[in-house]
Amino acid sequence: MEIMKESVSGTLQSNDCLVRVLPGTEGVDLNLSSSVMKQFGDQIEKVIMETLIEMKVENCKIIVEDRGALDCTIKARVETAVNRSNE
Amino acid sequence: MSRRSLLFMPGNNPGMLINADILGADTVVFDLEDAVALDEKDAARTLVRNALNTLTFKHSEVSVRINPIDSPYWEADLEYIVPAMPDSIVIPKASTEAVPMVEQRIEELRAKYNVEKEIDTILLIESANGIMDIQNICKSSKLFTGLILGAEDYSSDMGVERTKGNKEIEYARYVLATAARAFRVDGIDTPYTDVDDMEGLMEDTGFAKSIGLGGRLLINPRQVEYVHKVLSPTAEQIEEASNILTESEIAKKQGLGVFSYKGKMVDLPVIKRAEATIENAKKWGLIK
Repeated sequence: MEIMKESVSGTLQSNDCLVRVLPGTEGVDLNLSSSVMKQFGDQIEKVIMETLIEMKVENCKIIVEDRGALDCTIKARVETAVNRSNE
Repeated sequence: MSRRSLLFMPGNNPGMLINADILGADTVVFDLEDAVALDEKDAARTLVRNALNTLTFKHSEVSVRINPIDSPYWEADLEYIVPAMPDSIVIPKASTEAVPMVEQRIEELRAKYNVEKEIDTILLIESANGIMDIQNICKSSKLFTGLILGAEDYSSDMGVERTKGNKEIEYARYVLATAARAFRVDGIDTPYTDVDDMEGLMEDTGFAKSIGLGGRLLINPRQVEYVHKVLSPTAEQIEEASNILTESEIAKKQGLGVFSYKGKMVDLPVIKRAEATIENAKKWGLIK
């Protein structure tokens, strides 16, 4: 799936995350910040990358600000942002 | 089903969704309708689907309120939610048109996604026409296990103000309670909207119980405990039901259809009520 325009989903509330995706040309450029970066940074990155692969997104810039979201929430917010970028 | 409490949770709030199972409600209802802003409908249905696919719900039945059929959202709601296998779907603005449409789509999606689990519906009656036509609405359903009164929309449709005493919704409550009993499904009362008035909540729920409504919609987790206090059988009622069933077994062996318990005649309706009391008490963890 191609990222056609900038889009956002989620919030900065506790247990949520704010995801912003933008068009890109050279693979996935992930910018991740999290309140639990030390403990769960690798896992969060894995969920984001797996979701993008599932959605066949090969090129994009993605900025994720995490506030302690569970994997299912991160996945949902990435999915929503990507789908919105195609509307 | 015997649901005492159905707790609404906004469908786009991850913090509330992940804690839903520990709040003690018999049913949690993830809301995709009124609790979700129009430009967040897509985010909410995706979040609820992922929560259903990932989280384990051990203590509460899980239901999802979809958007009504006069909105552009209900079909996408079902497309996302049915494969995630909730226990039930709440159909808002239930009518003889809406109920068959939604239920047919649920069955089509179950077939499309090979969902073996059966998914019930709960019908939200929230208009003057809904109350007048409730019997036909019930007859139009193949999947429903409960009726809910939505008093805010109903009052608005009636052009009357909501008051503390709830006189303005009394007729609708009687009608809904009677229909629920007639069709042997759960009769579920409208939410008590003053979340700080627990005394009022218990008194009002006591009235609902007295006319045959066995469950209540809740809008705050703090209300669960108080509603359960009113709608659960007491220890004395459980003991009496247990004794009646024991005496009933003895009477049956003696070939008696009717017998006396503490000076009162016991016949089939009383025995059935005792059986229901024991069954519910077990289900709700009040006895083993």
